[in-house]
Amino acid sequence: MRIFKKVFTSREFFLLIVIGVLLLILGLKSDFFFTMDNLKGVMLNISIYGIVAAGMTILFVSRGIDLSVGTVMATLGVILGRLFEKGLPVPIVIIIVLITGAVIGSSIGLLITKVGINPFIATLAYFFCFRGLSFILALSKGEFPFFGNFPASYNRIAGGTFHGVEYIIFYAVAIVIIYQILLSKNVFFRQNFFLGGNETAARVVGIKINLLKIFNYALVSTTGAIAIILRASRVGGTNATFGYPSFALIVVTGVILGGGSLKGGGGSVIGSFLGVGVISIIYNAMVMLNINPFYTEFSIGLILLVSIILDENIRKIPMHRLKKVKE
Amino acid sequence: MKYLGRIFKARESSLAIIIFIFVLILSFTNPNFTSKINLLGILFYIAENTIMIGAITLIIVSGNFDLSVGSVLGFSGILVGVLIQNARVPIPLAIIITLVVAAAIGLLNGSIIAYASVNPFITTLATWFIFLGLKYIINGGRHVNNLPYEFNKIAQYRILGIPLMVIFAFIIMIIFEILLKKNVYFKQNYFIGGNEKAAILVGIKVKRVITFNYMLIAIMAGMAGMLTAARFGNAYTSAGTDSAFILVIGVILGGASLYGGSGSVLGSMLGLILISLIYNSIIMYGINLNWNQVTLGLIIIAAVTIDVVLENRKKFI
Repeated sequence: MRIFKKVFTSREFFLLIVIGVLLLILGLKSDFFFTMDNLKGVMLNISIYGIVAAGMTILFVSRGIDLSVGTVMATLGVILGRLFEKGLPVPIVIIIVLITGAVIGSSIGLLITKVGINPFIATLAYFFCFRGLSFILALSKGEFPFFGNFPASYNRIAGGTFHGVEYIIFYAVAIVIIYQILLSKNVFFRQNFFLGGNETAARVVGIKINLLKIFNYALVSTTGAIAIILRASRVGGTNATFGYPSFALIVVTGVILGGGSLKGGGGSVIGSFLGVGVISIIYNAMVMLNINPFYTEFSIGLILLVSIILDENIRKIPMHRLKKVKE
Repeated sequence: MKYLGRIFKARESSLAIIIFIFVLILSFTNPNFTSKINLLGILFYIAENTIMIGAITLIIVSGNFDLSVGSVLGFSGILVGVLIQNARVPIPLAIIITLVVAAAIGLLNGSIIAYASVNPFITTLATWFIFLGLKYIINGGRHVNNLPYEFNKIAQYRILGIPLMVIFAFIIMIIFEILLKKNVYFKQNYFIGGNEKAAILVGIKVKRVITFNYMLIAIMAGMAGMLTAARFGNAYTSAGTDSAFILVIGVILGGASLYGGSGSVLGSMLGLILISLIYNSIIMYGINLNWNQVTLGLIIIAAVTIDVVLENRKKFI
């Protein structure tokens, strides 16, 4: 019985209900929402956001944040395109992109741990850097740099459907499940809860906090690399403008909606996935209902603002009245 | 106090020397630099940010952050343009309305950060996006073109060859410098930044001061936005996109610590001049503008690293 109570009063269930309500409203109000074309687009977005959100959740649990993931992904995409232009074989390209992602993430981690820069500032700096870098690396491609014409074997990785359901959703769900299991069960990953809860205590207890932090940032960037590889395969191309200006913000908002806290110590990968799901559906709804597209940045800022105010202040309510699962 | 004074002077004078050398090199190696158009452009660009540099120094000295200044700037420009042109509101009223709106934005930021205790980074990140969106919404994503001369002259009218906007900006900056150095109320920010809990215990009304700071920076951003629109005669949607970071880099280069508790408006001003020159030289040398973004990121990292290293020397942890 208690497990029923835990499930039905959890943040994740709440988000599931919200998604259900949104889908209901959209189905009624718009003829186009439930068409294959539109659903494919929504599923692609949820998958990409969801994959990155899985990594971001783990980072959030450890009280970190990465605002650069969007533009880093754009640069990785450009690198992907360039490598294919040079005719390198698919597995090599994938490995190079993954390693580059890991290196970039590790450098962020090093700046934050060894040099001591605030994660917001460091990752915001990277956000700008890689925005410029993605265009510089794509310089010969003109004003709207787009790389396409990838080998067919590459496009098959995420480009197909299985009984009508896109491959990419399967990848996303698989990653979400894997990360969730790692975060809840694996000893190494569970250290993040201690790190985020009380860093000094974690260090005293013997957790290697610097190593863990560097790992987390590398994880986020590498997960971003996975996401961009899959996306490029599904879409058949990649552009240098990806991720600007609000990709990282959407992922962060999704994580917070899903139960993650900026103060660390909490978070659920499934919750984050549902959180970005809500946001993606809302975005799609705005297009479907012909709402002015400029409302997208406005609404994501608003959702973020409201969720952080609530996040901050709901924790002050006594625990026995709290519905939300904190750990 | 005297020791602090010496530190400030050391940083400020070394900055002044670096700027001087930089300007010399630029003048000799690139004839375009000393052209009237370029110098005027730099002057206006520096002026635009100078309006806000005092207020942002207050924010950082008190240990906070404001990422939303850029979009408040851009939003104010478009708002005043829309009011004047589309809504046919008389110019003085339009300006007042825009300033009130800007103050309200500052109040929003300040209350959330001070009273709802939310992290200033993420709060101003959220408001950055909210007003980025609003900026596009209120005029359908378009710029506001061809503003009336009556409005434009508040920035463009020249006294002794110097545009009004520049004079105004420098006066504001100097007022902030004097206030931060001499006025008891403003100097409270050093205590708040140094140790917030101690400041509360000592009786400083921290929440009010912080909220006031955010209202100040928002009003300054509003003024900067309107003046920038007046300077061009058009309100561009792209105005202010880099402002938050140029300002912060200026403040860091000028000797303030991002942890709060130290800094001066004059130092921030010099830092601002330096980064503006670097930005301008990238354009001058025809380097791809995307390098500006990369440089921005690199300089943020470099400046903050220096800041952290210096800060750690003062602490024992």
